[in-house]
Amino acid sequence: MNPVRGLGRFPGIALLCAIPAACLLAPFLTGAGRPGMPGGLLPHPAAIDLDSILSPPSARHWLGTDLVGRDLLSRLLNGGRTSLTIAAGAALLALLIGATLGLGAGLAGGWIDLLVGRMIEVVDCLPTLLVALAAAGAGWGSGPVPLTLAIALTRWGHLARLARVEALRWRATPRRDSALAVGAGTCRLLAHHAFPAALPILATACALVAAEALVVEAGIGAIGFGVEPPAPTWGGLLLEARLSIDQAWWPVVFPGVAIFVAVSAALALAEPGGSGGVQTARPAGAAPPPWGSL
Amino acid sequence: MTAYLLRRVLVSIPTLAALITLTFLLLRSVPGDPADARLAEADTARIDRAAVEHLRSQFGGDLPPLPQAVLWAGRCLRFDFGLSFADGAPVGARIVRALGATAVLSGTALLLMLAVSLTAGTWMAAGAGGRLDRWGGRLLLIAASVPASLGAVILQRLLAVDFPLFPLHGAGPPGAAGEPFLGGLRLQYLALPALCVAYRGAALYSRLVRQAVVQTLRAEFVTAARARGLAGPFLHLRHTLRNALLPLISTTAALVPAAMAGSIVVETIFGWPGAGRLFADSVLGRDYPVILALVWAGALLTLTSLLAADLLLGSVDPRVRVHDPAGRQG
Repeated sequence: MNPVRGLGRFPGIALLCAIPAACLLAPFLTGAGRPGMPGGLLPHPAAIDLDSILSPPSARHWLGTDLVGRDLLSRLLNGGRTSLTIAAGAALLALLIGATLGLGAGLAGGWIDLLVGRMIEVVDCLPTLLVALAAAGAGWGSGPVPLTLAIALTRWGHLARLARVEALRWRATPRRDSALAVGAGTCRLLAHHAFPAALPILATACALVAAEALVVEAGIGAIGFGVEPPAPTWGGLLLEARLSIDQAWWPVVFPGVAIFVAVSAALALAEPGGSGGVQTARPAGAAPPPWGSL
Repeated sequence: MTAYLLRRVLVSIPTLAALITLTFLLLRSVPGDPADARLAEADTARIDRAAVEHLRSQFGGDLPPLPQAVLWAGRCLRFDFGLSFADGAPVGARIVRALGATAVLSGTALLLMLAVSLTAGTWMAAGAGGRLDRWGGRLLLIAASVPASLGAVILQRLLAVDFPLFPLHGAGPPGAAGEPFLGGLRLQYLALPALCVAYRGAALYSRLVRQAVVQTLRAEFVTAARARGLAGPFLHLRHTLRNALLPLISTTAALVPAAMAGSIVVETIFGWPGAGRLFADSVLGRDYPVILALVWAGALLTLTSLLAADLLLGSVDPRVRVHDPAGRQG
């Protein structure tokens, strides 16, 4: 089954590709060397330029500079790398956990199904922000990894539920019997048969996890519990914008646009019949996917 | 009914205890503890060594981590939250004060959320497929795409700096005593934070309301009501919305803890002296007793609102029955 159909409606996909592409190119655009070293089109994201503190957008600094004169465009692109990596990592990890447990529960049934059901209930009760903050408080370090883990570990429930339903549906088809008849083992059943069957609908839910991850990072970065400075992230840029809120508009507007475009692209991807490209076999009249939790 | 209620409450006790134990172990999984840090400062900052030792001893002295965690969970269940590492004051009184401030903020936000999303959802469903529905849907997508932190910063810039209609920060003018309880509440300080807690949830919830109403509108009893000549607000409020909301009751209950969790970011950005900000501050200061007490309060709130949703569902929808083991129905 082709998860990407209807390329006529591709703004979601196009945006979702353009932003990471720009962010992935960031190290080639910015001075690869130490802060302050020349080289590259853009200054290093941590290069401090005390001659242009909080300067508005200009030919020298396209998007202006922050409180200590660091180039906002450079920080925006490099920050996007971290934020988008967190989002993608959390989505993939949640997919791994959710698909394995959900498909396993659906295929196995019995006590495994009950156990996984309990786990999903517990996980759904845990607010991501609370766990991410508690992880920061427990001192798991303040790199992108604990944040990714906190998001994935609290967000796989929805994926697991979808995967379980898909597995139940798949189990009822003759394809399971034919796979068993040619001698497929449990792992092969899971990886080569049930997973591909469930992938389209799981991909939609993954886009939601990615959107939620961006939102969480923006929130937790904006109150100073995110990835440790001076490494920029989009949430961290919001924190810096708060510090100069009464003096400058550009530190709010540009990261704001980036976050907004990325989140709405991810949400649009998950929208059945919206501007997104991922189409799923959804029965008519079924409820739309929740746009994540709050 | 009473038996059912009692059983639900009894079942929630081990859940709460397990959660506290897990959080405790998570917090203690990192070497070193804040009491140690305070002792290290003791000579220079003239902190009372005995007092710090006393703070640490409330966790059960030299016991291994697991018994310590279980002991602490037992204390929490008896509403005894110990003394704060930060200043040695009892934690209970402090979290009650903070939760009061958060209740004002989250309560306002919840009312705002419900008012907006019920109106918008019904309205969009009434004209499903039409222009209002399509543009409303786009507007909701836009609102859902702006994280609360970003929305807060934008609102601060627009409505507190460019057009200073609202205060930028805090819960009252500097120097004015008092917590933002209803007595000393100043609405202009409440407006922006409440809006920030509410708008994203309102966007997500409006969509669910719209979908539920659209599905209900297809039901036969709606056609029957229409055949009797009912139309407009009466039809929607009296017949459609009431039935559409039944499947949404548990989602609505989940809004309560979500609003509380969302207030962590918003309270910190706006300097609102509530539980969310207290949580962020105690995470920063590794003030374990306060963190544990707030996790406990949050879990209790979640369980209570889920229970309330189940009871409400039972009382609103006559088809739902709450079973107790004796086979009677209540």
